[in-house]
Amino acid sequence: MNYSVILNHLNDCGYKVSAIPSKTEEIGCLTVELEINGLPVSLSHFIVAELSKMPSFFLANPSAFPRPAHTAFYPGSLFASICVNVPDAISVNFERPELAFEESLKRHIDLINQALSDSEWNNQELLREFEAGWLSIVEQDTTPFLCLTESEKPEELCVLKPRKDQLGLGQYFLGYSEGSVPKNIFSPINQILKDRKSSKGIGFFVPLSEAKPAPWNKDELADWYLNLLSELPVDVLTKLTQQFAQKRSYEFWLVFSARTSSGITWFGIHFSQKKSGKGRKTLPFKQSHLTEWLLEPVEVLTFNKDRLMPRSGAEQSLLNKKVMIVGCGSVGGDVADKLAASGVGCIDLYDPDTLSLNNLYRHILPPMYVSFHKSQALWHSLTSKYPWLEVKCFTKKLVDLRRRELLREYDLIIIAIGAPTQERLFHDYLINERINVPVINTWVEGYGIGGHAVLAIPETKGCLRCAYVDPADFSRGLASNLNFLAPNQDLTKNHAGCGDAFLPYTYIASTQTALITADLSIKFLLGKIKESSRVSWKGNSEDATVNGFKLSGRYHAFIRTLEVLPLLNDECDICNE
Amino acid sequence: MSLQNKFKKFHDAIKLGRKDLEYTTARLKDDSITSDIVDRFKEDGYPVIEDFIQGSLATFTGIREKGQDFDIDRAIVIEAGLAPENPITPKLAVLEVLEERGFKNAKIKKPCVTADYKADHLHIDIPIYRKYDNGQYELAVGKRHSDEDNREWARSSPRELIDWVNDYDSDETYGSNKHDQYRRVVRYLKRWRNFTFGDDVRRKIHSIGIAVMVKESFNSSINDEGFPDDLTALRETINHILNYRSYFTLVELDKYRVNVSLPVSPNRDIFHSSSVATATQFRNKLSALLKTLNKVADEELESKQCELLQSVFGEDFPECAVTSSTSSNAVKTVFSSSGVVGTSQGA
Repeated sequence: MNYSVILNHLNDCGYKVSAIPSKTEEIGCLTVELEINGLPVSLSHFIVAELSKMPSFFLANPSAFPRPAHTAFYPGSLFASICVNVPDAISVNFERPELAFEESLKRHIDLINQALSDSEWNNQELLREFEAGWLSIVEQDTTPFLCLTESEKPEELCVLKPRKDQLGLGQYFLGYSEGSVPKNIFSPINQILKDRKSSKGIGFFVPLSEAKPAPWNKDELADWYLNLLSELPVDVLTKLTQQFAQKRSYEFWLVFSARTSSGITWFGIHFSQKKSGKGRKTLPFKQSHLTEWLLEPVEVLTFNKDRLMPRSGAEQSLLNKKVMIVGCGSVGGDVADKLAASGVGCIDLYDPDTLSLNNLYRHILPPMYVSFHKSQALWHSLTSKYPWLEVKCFTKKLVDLRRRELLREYDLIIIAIGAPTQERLFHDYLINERINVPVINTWVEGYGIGGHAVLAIPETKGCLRCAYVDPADFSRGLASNLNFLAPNQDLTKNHAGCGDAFLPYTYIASTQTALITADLSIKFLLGKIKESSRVSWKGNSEDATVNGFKLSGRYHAFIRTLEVLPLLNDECDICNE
Repeated sequence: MSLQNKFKKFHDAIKLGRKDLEYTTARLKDDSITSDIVDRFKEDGYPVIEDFIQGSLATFTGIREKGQDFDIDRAIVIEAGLAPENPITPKLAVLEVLEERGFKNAKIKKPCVTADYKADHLHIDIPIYRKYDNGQYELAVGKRHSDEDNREWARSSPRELIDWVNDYDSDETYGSNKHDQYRRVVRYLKRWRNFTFGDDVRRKIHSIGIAVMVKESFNSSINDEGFPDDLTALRETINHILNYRSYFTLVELDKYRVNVSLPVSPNRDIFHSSSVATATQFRNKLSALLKTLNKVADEELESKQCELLQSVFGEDFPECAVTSSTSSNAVKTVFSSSGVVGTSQGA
């Protein structure tokens, strides 16, 4: 990168910029001299080979200033980093780097200017960004601490240390208060709790009424801790110093929670005795005691649905929804996963079929589940994937589920069995017995031609039969009029005779079908769709045509892929009764 | 019940096909007369080389009318090289065949030999053609006593005309559904004609004229699942006939002439013998029909819709219950006529 051009440009813009050579380069660093709020400020940029992110400037001699928000620096360092943007939220003009430098410098100066001249804003920002501030003093290789307790009172914590060679959640410290962990806690965590039963450490959880800015650098941690103790409410401090202080150990974990304007934040401090030879000691509360302890800031994570669900894209309001999924094949299995991932709280899975190797590539389940009932395997898989999901599995067929009391339990029934005869029988039952439960029928067609989802909401116009009317004479169709392949073609293939016949379609086709189904389901459960509806996706006809199959008229005429369309068919004899 | 379902019932009530039960007598009679003519022409030295059905039964646009005869429209073709010079000669032979079979009122008209068989409600039209090796047909034109100037073997393309009406693009999306809708629209308009006009005018609004106009102006209405909307197709087609083609030309204030050329050689005007009075009535009443149909489209009450449609098509258009269209009278469930249908559905 040509720094001479950048240097000249910034000077042309009116900044006082000079280049400082390094041992190897003519220009090793750019320094910008400014005066902000009466204080001399120097910003430095250390040269980079290319602009893969916005060029950064560091605040020189940070200790000389009142602490500005959005800055961080290591103990002993001469420079503080300045955070002016979320790195991925911008696209940098690396073809004209001088412009990127100009914009970046402007943003750095604006931020420092505001931080030094508006103390109220600065304090609010320091609190709002508490978590970022805390993480900036946590050493990179520090193991995070997962706290399972969400109490609002001070509590003693059992701390489980990670075992060697563990991966994922297994490499975290785990803290919980005795008796606070529900039996049905998320299965992977349950497994860790079981595995680590014997290796307990001691910790304390202390809720704070309000946060104060995180330490600017790690050197301040001990003072910061003492200051925090001095501001604790009396009852909390009493519990800490009297009850908790009875415990002796070589190490302690203190976990705090505090309310900030960006939500409740969690953080922790690990105390380890500098000289273990002096025997176990109690948690230090005084300056004099602290000299014997090493304090290390720790990142604390919680297993909190209020935070994790929205943060990872799930809708909490779906937790109280109960969905029946009949058919756990390529489409149904994927629908189940997508509904769970969207936050649906209760899913009952029905399928009499077992997973075989023939299902391998287009089914969401891995081969470790081969020979299991699909519903049971899916139950196991979903249980270990989604923490606040209640799943049950059954092996009944759709036609065996014609039971009023059972069906009325559900907010939605999804039928993904690809068997129109049974689906129409089931629909007849619902109509005749006047069972008012919303139902989605979904199916994928062969050869990547498309897929469909039909949502019938009781008391609104449109039912499954609206998708089964023969346009030729308005009679009840045996095949759906939504289909993209013409009826009465032998579309199945088999490799080993009758029993092995299968309809060829890919994982992409079943997933796409599952996607329109899950989308329709979620929109309905959230109340965003209130009328009976249908959705189709239309794929490429090449495979079907190459194999000599005829397409339906609808395939050619249909142009509204993925659109949610009204289900009502004027010619449906049921809806026009 | 949807309005389209009513149109379907209407169509079921008016359509007439050669294989319909009601037409059985006519068909048997037709076959037997044709057989007699074949024998006679063979004796006379100009054997029949082909015969075919003409008219609305050949184009599947026939309709039935209460109290009206069933038409037999059978073309007889002889080889041009063997055909008598005088076109009246074979027509006389046909006349004799018919008279021998007991038809009292058989007569030779300009384009064909006709007879009525009152007992069986039959009206028979038998045109005679001669055909050249190159496929060209000529129609035997002239009445019994026409002199040389008024009789001729006139160039004609009867097969081509049938093919033109029956032709559609089967590769087009819903091509056959659109063609079915075309035939229904022709039938609706024929019924409208029969219901609307007195005998004299009705006879002059030739069915083939309607078939050609509708074909040339047709706007189909089929949704993407193949469900037809005949009301829309009918309205848009009539609108096209009236406003986007030049079939009707103004000859003086509020007076029209109608001209519809046959789409096949020699492209004569189907309405060449129609008067300004006929054309004016035809146009004005077609325009009134469109207004009524537009009202039907705007009307929400199904009973009112049916009332309006009955006012233009007569009582074969089904009645509707006096309810709003959203809670219309029950549709009789029609079950599929197939035992099993293969589907492309999986999961």
